Amino acid sequence: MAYLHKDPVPPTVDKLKHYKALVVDDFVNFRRTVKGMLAGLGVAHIVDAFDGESALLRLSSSKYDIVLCDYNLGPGKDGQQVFEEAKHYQYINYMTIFMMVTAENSMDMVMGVVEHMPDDYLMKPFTKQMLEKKLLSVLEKKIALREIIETIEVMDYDRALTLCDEAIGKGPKHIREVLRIKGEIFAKRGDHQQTEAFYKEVAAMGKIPWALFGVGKCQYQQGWLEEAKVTFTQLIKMNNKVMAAYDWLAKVLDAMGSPQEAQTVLMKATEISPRALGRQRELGAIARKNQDLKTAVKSFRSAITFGKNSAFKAPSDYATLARVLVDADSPQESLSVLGDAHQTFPRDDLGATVEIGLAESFVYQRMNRKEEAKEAINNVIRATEKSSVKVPADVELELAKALILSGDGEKGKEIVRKLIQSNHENEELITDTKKMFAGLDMAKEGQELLEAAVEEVVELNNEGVKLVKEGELAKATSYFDKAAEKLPYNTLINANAAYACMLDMKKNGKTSESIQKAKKYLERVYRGNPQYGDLPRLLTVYREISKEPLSWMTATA
Amino acid sequence: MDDSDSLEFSDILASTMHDTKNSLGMLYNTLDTLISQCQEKGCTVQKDHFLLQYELRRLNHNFIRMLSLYKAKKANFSISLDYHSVSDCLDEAIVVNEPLLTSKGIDIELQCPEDLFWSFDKELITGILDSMLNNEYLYTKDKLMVSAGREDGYLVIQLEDNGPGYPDCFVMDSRQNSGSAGSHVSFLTGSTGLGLYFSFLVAKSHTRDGREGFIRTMNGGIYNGSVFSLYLP
Repeated sequence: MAYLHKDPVPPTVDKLKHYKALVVDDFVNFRRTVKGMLAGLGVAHIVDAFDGESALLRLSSSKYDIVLCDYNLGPGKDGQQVFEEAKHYQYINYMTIFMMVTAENSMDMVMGVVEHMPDDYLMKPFTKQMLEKKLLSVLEKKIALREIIETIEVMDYDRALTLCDEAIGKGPKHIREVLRIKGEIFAKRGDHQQTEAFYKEVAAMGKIPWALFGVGKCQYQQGWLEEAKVTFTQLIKMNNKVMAAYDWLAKVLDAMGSPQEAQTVLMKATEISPRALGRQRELGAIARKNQDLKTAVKSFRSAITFGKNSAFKAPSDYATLARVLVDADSPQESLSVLGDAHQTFPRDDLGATVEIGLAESFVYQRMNRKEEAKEAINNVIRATEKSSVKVPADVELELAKALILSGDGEKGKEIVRKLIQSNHENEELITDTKKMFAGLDMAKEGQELLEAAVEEVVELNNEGVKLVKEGELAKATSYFDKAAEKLPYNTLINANAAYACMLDMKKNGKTSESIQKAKKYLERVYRGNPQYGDLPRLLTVYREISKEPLSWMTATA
Repeated sequence: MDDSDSLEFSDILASTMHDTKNSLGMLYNTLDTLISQCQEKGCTVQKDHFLLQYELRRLNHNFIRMLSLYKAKKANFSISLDYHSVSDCLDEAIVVNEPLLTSKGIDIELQCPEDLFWSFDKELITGILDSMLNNEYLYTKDKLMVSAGREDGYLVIQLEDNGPGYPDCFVMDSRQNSGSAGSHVSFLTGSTGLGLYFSFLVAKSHTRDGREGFIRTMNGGIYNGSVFSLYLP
C-alpha cells in the first residue's frame, strides 16, 4: 500500500544493533526466550531482571534503549509501577522504548494515563516477527515525533504546536500521539479553558480515557469542582483500573470540603492497587485530617514498607507516622519509628535530619520530656547551619514552628521572614504560614510579619522595574544583580534579573559573560518553579539572543 | 481447613489455567524456533509443525477467552479505549497468522483505508481477530479477505473466506438476540460457539452515545464462503 507520508527512511532492524535491552519477567524460561529473540534481532547487549525492584536497580545504574517488562511480576511491584518509577526518576526518557508484556489482555491491569502509558503492549506468547514489528513501529514513531518533544522541553510551546499541526497535516500516521502531545502543550501553556476545549473535542471522538482525564483536570484547575467530580466519576465507571482518576477524584472531593468521601475513594483505590506508595501517603494524610488515626497509621506504615529499598523512600513518611502515633497515644512506638528513620537515612541527608529531628522534638514535647525536645531542635539547627542545601519550604516552616514553641521566637520568625521573601508569590505557603501563626495564638503578629516581608520584596522589585521602564537598562541590570544576590531563591526577582540583563544585551550588545548571567537567572527560575508563567516567553528571548539552547533543560539526548 | 485456608474452586481453576498458559507459551516459542530452523534446512516435516502450531494457538486462545470471562465475572468487563489506526490493528493480527496460513497456500488480502482511525480496545479486538484468523487454517479453502470500513456510524471489520461456510446454527446477528445472548444461536456448541460468544461480549462492551457494538455471521460474501462482521460504534 503506497502511503503518502511515511518518514523518508523508516528505521530498520539494523538500528537495533547498538541498543541495550532489559528483559523483566519472573519466569526464567520466558526471560531466556525473549533474550533469544532480541539476540536474533541483532541486539548486542541484553540483560534481565526477575522482579520490579531489581529491574529498577538495573535501570538506575545504566541506560537502556529497550525495556520489555512483564506486567505481572509476582508479589512485588507490577510492571506499571516499574514504568512510572523509572519515568519519575528519569531512568528512562522519551527515546527509551518501554513495552508492557501481558499475559492476556488489559482487563486485569492497572492503567496509566497520558504520560504514564507504555509505548505498546505485547501479549504472550509472541514471536520474533511480532516483536520486531512492534519495536520498529514504536521506534519510527519516536523518531518522527522527536523534534516536537525536544521543542516542548525547551518550552518553545508555540513552535511545538506548529510542529504538531504540521504532523497532522502530513497524514494520520501518528495522530493519536500527536493529539496527546498537543493536549499536553495546551496544558503546559496554562490556558485551562483552551485546554479543556481541546480535550473535549478529542473525547467526543469516542470517550478516550486520557482525553476525559484532561477535561477533568482542567475543570478542577478552573474551580469547576462539581463538573470535575462528574468527569472523574464517569472515567472510573468506564474503566475502574485507571488509578489516577481515583487520585484526582479524591483531590476534587477534598477541595469540595468532603475529606471523608475523598478518603473512601482512596481506600477503594488502594484496595485495587495496594502497592502504590504515593497513594498510600495521600490516604494517610487525608485519614489524619479526618482523625481516622487507625487508617492513617496503616497507610503510612504501608508507604514506609513499599518505600524500603526504593528511591521513593521519604523521611516525611516516618516523621508523619511518628506524629500520628503520638496523637494515637503510642509515644513509644512513635520513638521506635524515628529510630528506624535514623537507621534508614544517612546523617548527611540534611532534609531527612531536619524532618526526623523536628518530629522527635514534637514527640518529646508531647511526652513532656522538655530537655530532649530542646536537644532535638538544637541538633536540627546545627545541621542546617553547617549545610548550604535548601530544605523544602514546608519543612522550614515546621522548623520555625518548633523554634517558636521551644521559646526561641526570634529565630523562628527570622526563618519565616526569609522563607516568605523567597516565595512571596506562593499563596499556598502564605496560607499555611498564617494557619501556623493562628495555631500558635500569634495571628496578628504573624500577619504583620508576613505583610512586611512581602512588602519589602515588592518594593525591591518595583524599583528595578521602574528602571527598566525608564530605559535605564544598565542601571536596572546592576540593580537586579544585587537584588538577586539578596534573594537568590525568589522566582520573580530572578526572572526580572534575567529580563533586564537580556534587554540590556539586545540594546547594547551581548558578551559571553552576560549570556552566562542570564542563563544563571533563568536556571534559578526553572529550578524554583518549572511552571513559572513567564518562563516560556523569557526563554524565547534568550534563544533569540544567544542562538543556543539551554543545556540544563534537554533530557531526551 | 478453616475458611481463610480454603480457595474458591474457580480461583484454583484460573490459577492453574494461567500457569498452563505460560507453559503453552513456552511450547509455542520453542516450536516457532523449530519451524524457522526447519525452514532454513528445508525439512519435509514442516506441515506437521504448522498443524501443531495451529493447535497450540487454538489452545492459547481458549485459555485467553476463559481467563477473560472469569475476570469479567469477578469484576466488571472493563475495556481500555484509545484512538487507534484500524489498519495497524489488522496488520498485527495478520502478521501473526501469516506463516501458518500461507503454509497451507491460503491467500490473505487486506483492504483497509490507511486513514481509518477509531476508538476501541486494541488488545481485545486484535485478540478476537487473531483467534478468528487462526481458525481459518481449518475452515477456508485457499482465500481470505480481511477488510474494514465505515457503515452508518459504525466501524465494520469483516472476515470473508471461501470455505464451506457456517452451519445454519451459527448464522446470526447479535442485535436480534441481545439481552438473552444466544437465545437462538447455541454459543455453547463447541469452540466456534464460545469464540462467537466472546466476540459478542467484547463488541457489546464497546458503547457510544447509547449504541452498542455487535457481531454478525452469514454465508455468501465475495468468495461465497463464511462472512464474519464485527461492528463497533
